[in-house]
Amino acid sequence: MHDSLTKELKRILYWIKPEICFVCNRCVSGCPVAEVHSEYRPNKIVKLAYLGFIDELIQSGIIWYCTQCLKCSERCPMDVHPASVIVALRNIASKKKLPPEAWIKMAKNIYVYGRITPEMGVVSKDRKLIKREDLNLRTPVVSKELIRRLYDETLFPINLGD
Amino acid sequence: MEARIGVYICHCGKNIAGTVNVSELRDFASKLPGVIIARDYVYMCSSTGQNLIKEDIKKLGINRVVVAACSPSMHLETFRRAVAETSLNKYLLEMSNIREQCSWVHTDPKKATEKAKRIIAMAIRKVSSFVPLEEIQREVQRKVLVIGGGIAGIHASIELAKAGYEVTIVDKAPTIGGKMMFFDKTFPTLDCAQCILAPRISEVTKLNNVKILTNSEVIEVRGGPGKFHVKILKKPRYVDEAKCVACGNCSEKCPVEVPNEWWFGLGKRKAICIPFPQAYPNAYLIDPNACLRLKLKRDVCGLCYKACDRDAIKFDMNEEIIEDTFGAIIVAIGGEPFDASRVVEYGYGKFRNVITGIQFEILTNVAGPTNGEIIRPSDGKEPRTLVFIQCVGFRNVNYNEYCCRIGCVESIKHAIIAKEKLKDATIYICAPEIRAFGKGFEEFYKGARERGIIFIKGLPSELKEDHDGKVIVQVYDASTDKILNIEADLVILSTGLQSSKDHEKISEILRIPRSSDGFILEKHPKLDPTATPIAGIFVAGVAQGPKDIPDSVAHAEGAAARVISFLAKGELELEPFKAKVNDELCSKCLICVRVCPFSALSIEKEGSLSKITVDEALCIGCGICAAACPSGAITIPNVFLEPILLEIEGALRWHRCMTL
Repeated sequence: MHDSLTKELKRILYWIKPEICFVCNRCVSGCPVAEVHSEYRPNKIVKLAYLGFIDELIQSGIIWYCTQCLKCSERCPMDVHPASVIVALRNIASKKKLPPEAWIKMAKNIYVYGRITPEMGVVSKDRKLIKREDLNLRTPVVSKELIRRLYDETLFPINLGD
Repeated sequence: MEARIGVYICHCGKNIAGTVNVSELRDFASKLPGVIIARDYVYMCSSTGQNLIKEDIKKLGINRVVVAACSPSMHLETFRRAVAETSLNKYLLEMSNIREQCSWVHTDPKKATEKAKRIIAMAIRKVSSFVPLEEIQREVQRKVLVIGGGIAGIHASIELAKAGYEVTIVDKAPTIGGKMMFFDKTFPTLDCAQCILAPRISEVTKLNNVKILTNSEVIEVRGGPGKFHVKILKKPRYVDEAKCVACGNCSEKCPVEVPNEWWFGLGKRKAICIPFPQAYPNAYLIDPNACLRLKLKRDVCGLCYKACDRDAIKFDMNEEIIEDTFGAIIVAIGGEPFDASRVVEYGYGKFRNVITGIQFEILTNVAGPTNGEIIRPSDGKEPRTLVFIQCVGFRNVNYNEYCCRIGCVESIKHAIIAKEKLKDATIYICAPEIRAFGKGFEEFYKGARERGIIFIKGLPSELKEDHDGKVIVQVYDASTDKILNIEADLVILSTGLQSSKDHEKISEILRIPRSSDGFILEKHPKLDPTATPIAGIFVAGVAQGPKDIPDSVAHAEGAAARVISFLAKGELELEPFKAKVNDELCSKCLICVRVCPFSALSIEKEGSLSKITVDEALCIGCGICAAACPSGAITIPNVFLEPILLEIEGALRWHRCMTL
């Protein structure tokens, strides 16, 4: 049990009461991740977190599976918001520099390219590489400052250099 | 008479003494002017505590009593009875509430004690102005109004009629019988609902002292306990009940077809119809919103009129207002199923093969549109896979937070009926847990498992429909930790019972409160479940909260017994707090007559002069007239005006009360 972590979780999630879950399992039934990962169950994560198993959860990496589709929060009859609990757990994990490698890579991509994967373009029939600007498509403009601030706020453990 | 006040402070175990410093409060009270003695005791309501008061009245000549304890609605009567056992008048007692209004709601002992001092000073100042009063005896009408003719209303009426009371049943539907009339079988014994209800209906209709008004609504209630003046609106049926023999010739000829609300939209009915064959009164009626002639208000169609050889159809029937006086009222208005279309993700109303529990009841009913055959509504084929989904609209913060209490066992019943009719069908019940709490319910649940009905521990998140009408149910089963994908032919949503618009309407008309779930509030959740906070008005069955049939019947019989004990003496003792008009101060401005919500005040001629008179039977002593009177001509003994002014003085100058 880690009292300080549980306290931290309750501080972040002061606006919800995950204790009132009565295990109707609607969050699991509709979850697109639970369908493919047999160990991923939103209500199980919520209960484990509130029983004090936060360290195990953030070490196991299971919290990074969630796609944040928010279906569990939407369908919950008790307004428990499992998706928000998972975000809070991710914040705690970030503080401890625990996010998976791939996540840090994605975060860097967002900083550099404004999206998760860098732009790759498509190859036409006559083997020409076509980029966005060739098709007159707008390239998203990213405020690097804003993203840097976002990472600072969430304490995401990332070294963006200068 | 000089006031000799005795103050009695209750510890209520630790309920009061845990927060309020009782000995400090006692010392404070004993120093206030007029106080002869102040005592504290651990349970003032016990007979030892009551004896303390009685002894002091005898030995010390106490002539005003203040009890500082719980809410007067809890124990005022207890202490009044104790005082009445001595020579003192029982209306010379005042209770001050230092539990609900002080110790229970505060945590800081110091501040709570200071507040308790103010509360007690208010009562001590107030009680000094009290005068002895006598109770008012009032004759009661030995007649009872039962609103709602469902299973609860019918049972209460039968019991009351057998005890010799005159009963009037008012039902807004064109027949009595209520929701139970639509049931095929009842849980947990699986006996046919019609077979147990129809004899009760025929029994109630044969009793001479029961009057049944269908298609009627209560629109106004005036007066008070023992004498309620009630106005009932009887809507036209357009068919003479006495002449109609329910042969059905009219309905055969009728050209208008509309969805049948008696079958919850599963079939069609004609504009002239009968809800079900066993209806009482056993007569057809015309739906004025569907009938061409009544809708267009023109001399058209009239086919039913021509078909009827008994001359029973009367297009010129009008609304009728019936006025009567009753001694007591029983509210037995039942409830309604939850509107499943509000839960959008389950697609009720959009997906053809998603129906509600009550619709399934109609499907299995022999008198229903399919003659009891279970079919898929989309193509009329026999379903192979059935899925029941529990808790739709209940145990949910977005709809109803309470448990519907009948859904679990209702679905088990449906599943067993379906298993009997469709031998090799696969039946699933999706529920987080099964609540089988009643007598014989757990055995019934076991019986369902023995029959091979599959229980899934979990609810689906949403439903999807494929091109040929199959409903895809993706549901997680906690007991196997697997996510199942079921292709269901028929999905049944268990929609339980909730309060309806009628609860809102009836609580306004009768001025009775409702609980947060919308149902009628009972006087005490454990010790007085059939009375409402208003004397003379009782509640029976689902009107008070969701119930199954055995509970409804027990509750209704309890309400009937309460009404009998309420009216049996033939007279009532009313509290003497009634408005009194000082004719010399009165300027006959009639403001009081206009503001009285109970129409208790009126102006009457006495020779060449006129005078305001108060009908003590109607006045409840609310004090609205007294507050509105510009000349200060209206007083209410022991309530208004001096007692209130003294009470305010006690509240504001409590710290100076000692020097007053």
